[in-house]
Amino acid sequence: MIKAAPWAFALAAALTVLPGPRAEAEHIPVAPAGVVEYQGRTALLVDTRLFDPLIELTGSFEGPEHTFGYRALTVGSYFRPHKNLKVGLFYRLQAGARHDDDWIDLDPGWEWQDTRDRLEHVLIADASPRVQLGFLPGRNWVATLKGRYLLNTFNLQQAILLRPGLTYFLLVDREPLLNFSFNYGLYFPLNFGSTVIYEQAPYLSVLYHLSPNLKLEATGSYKSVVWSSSQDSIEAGDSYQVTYKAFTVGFGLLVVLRP
Amino acid sequence: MQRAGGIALLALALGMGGALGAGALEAELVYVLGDVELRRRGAPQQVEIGMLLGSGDVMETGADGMAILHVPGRADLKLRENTVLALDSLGQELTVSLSKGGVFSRVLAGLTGRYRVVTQTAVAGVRGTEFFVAYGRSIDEHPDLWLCVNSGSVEVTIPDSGESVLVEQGKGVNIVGGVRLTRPRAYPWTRRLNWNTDPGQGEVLDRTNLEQAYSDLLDQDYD
Repeated sequence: MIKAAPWAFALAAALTVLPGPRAEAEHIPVAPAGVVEYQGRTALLVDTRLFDPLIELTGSFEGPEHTFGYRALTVGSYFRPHKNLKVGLFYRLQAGARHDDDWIDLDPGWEWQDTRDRLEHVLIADASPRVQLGFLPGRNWVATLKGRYLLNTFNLQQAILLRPGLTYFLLVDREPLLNFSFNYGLYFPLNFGSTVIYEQAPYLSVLYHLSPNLKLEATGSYKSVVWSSSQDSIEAGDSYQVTYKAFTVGFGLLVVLRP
Repeated sequence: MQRAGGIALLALALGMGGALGAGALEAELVYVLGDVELRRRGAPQQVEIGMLLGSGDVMETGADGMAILHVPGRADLKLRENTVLALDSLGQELTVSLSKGGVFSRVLAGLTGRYRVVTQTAVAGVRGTEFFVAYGRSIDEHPDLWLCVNSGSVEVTIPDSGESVLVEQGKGVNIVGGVRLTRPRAYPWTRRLNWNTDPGQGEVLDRTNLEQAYSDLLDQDYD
């Protein structure tokens, strides 16, 4: 009879308890690389000087397969209590949004839940101070800090968006012809996720004033979204943070009415 | 072409027809509000409603001032606040010089000669026209000059370049820096102008803020 050394029994026990590499990867979402997404929006804005109501429709082709996923209808209004401040209240109806808990255990297998038919209601409060930087060459520079509080009534998630930005207005005969904007958006989750910043993105946009009432927009951004452990994965004993990065190219058609 | 003190004059022959009447050589001050001054041969004069004004008189309104002049049978002129208007000629040719501020002109059917508003650009109206001229922002060497037409049509000409445009009813132009004409178009801010020159018909004060003629760069939210 062969006597096994005590260390051998310990090693054998460890190998039977620890999960193998293949089973562990299935619980963690994989972020595809080099993804380019596309987004389109159209909006109707009314400029009444004091109140600026708007209605906006947005749609996105997302992921490596360019699946038509996220859509949103946003309605609300800005109000201008001071020449350097606009505040707003908006309601957004959206579908196709992805949240951390949408990474689910299908048993067997894991995948992202298809949320394209799931309607969510988001309440948004906006406060955006701005100042003209007349000392810069060309004079027509405006610095803005867009601030938003978002409450998603679907999962009661709350977030703060802070987006500092700089816009240059190219004027011809005192009328704007082109707006060039650079912004950096930061989403801070207030009651979800495991990171300080949930999403961030540098964002470039060019707005062409086709006429006083019609604007064409082209945008480009590079977003980074951090997926934190979903409820299913926590229950499965996992903990992860996965960063999803994607370029987003956008186009917009805006109609502005001035009664 | 005649230059006077840096202001170019343009003579246009408009609306000539029929015998030239003698016309009134005086204007009557029919309405005064707030701070209004009259200078006659350089000396300040007491202002009162009903007084007669003659060629060479200069009307000036303060920050809260407004005045309406009536040239019998030929034109009504309404001066906005912070305006300086000289009555150059009240004879067969009705000529006024606007060196500051804004003026509404209603050219009446009785005008048989020429009517000119002289600025760094000159505009002229024929009978049956009603138009508004006002200085805008001073961004370039010379200030902008805004003109909009409420009735009839008005020809605007830049003397130095010879560039001219006919501005039709409901449209306006900006003479950018006093030297470059924009294409006539409808400006939303002009819909708020108060064209009334008859106090008996209601409010005559025009409170339109001409800053609305310019894009407010702090009011551009597209997302």
